[in-house]
Amino acid sequence: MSSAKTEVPWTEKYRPKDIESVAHHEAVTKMLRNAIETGDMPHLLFHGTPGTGKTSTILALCRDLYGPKQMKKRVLFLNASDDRGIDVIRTRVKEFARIVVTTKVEGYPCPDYKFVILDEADNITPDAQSALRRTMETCSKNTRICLICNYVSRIIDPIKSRCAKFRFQPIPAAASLNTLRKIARKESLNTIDGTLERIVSTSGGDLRKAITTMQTAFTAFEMPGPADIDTLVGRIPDELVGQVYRTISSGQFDAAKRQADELTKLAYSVKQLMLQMNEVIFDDMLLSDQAKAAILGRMALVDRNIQDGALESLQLLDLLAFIGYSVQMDRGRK
Amino acid sequence: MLWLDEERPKKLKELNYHHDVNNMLIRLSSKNDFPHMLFYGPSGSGKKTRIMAFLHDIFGANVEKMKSEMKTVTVNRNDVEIMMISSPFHFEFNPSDAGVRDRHVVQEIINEIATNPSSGVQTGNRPTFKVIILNEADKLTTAAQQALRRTMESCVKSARLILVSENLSRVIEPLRSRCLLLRVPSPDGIDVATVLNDAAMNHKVHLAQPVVDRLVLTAGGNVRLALLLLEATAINNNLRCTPDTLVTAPNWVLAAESIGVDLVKGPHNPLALHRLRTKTYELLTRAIPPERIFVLVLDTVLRHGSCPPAAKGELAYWTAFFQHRCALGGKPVVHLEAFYARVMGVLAQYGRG
Repeated sequence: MSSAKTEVPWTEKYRPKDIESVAHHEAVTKMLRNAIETGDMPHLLFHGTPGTGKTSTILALCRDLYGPKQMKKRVLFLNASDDRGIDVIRTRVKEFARIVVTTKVEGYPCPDYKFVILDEADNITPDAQSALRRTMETCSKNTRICLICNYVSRIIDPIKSRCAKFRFQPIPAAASLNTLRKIARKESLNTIDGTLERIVSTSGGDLRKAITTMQTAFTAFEMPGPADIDTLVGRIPDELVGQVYRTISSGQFDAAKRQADELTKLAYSVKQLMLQMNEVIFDDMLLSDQAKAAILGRMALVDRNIQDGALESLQLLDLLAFIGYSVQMDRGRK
Repeated sequence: MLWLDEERPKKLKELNYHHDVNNMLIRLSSKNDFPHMLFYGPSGSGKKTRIMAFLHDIFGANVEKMKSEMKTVTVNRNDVEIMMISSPFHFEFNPSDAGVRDRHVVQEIINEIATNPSSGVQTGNRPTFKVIILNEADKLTTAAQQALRRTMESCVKSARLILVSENLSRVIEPLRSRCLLLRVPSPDGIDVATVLNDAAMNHKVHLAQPVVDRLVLTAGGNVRLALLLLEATAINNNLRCTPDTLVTAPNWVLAAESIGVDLVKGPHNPLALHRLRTKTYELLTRAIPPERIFVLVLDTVLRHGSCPPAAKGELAYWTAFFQHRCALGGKPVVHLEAFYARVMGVLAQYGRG
């Protein structure tokens, strides 16, 4: 039996311990190592899609700087789960910045500055970000701030200009696969061919998602295969999507209605359906570019409406009827 | 006690459809440990039944000793009251009760539960963590869902979350990727019929096959509704349902359907529209969610024989359009009437052409 214990999430257990072992960000790690050596550390702004190692990099950097024991005193880590209104920025960050720490630990550089890490910084309100501007300047003698975010556009300009920006690219499939294989070996898991590959391909460059999927897969199934992975991530069987597309292409409204009812009963996510329907429509060589564009436009609308809280079943029916109609009109034109 | 509650299977082994989901739960329960989970599926498909059976298998019969209490959480000097159901092993609440303050409430309650070591009686090899069930996870604001991300990782030693949601699209990706996703689709007609026949046998009801078919058709994959209808029908007919026994849908369904029929039949003028207002208000005052009215009215119009086939696509579009507006807006009746007016317009246009 596999030893897939959920006690400690593998994403935490296998977080890189030092900056050398951070997966696939040579350019970033090189610059940071330089900064450690010269002692000239700027404020940092890490941005990039989820699961690309932003948090891991900064945590590894801090560990390299202060060692595991000093980290608690020297690093203030705030994320979206903590309350981070303007008050918190004003009081907690400022107070933390004021404390002077000079204790040195053997074997670590232990520079005079401390680190404030603001994870998921794109959720900090613009007001609180403004409050941060001044703090960043006044405290820069003994504190460095590291902002981590998914969308750099949600960080106000004055903050951006005070930071050294690092962009984290999605992790390539080969590197992700390597990491998963390493974990599988350490956890002594029995893997079937293709399972890990499928986990990587469904994760879309998000290493955390890949590792989490892997852990749940080995908890829920004895020997997960590629099809089990599809179930886990909520992917709709490709045959079903293809069949839905073929059926509604007749342009008959009633066919679209039946398919919509069926999909609603099966409880598949409409957003997931749109993602996969997208692929099917792109691959349909017989469909003109205009029709494809029109369908994509409607998908975007439906996506927005669902985000607003519109009922999925009605949006789905509208979308399927529209796709059917567009395909039929397009074929008729030729 | 309603038949619905009597018939609810208590253990995973007693569940009688969706065996792939059940088997996964059985496997997890035998390990006495499980990840965070997210159950999704239409209402009445058996999500909650599976969760409770799962907890029963893990923690034993004490899970059913539930009490409900009002829990007060103070947010920025405002008190928010939340209805909380709890057993020695689990807590259950609807975070959406807190409205826009749900983020604070979720954080507060989960942190409280996660930081207090389990007070339940620990015997044998039962897990030491507590289970927190969050209903209507899709109705949580995005801010509250964001706040859960980190909490879910940090609380994993002391608590497991089970999220329940009707659909997956409104749960943000970071939460989905932290959960084991369990899809619970609506059971098909045969499965619903089995449940009904079993229930009839247990309550000594004579149930003719045509009645079963009618019940299945009216309930449409919603087992909860099917059992309620069965009880109502059986009691009205002194426990003898002959092949001619009719099944009446709930009153509000009939009322909504009559709106649809009125729309198709016409006349299509302001006076007719005005007459629908009374019916709509009657539904809304009985707390029928407006989206159900949209769906039922559209279904009735589409099914009606005199609805021109060419108009159907447009009708579907406008229903989706006004339901979306209704979800954003404040007063449902305004959007419903705009919707009726549009349906009248479309039908009149296609009827003439």
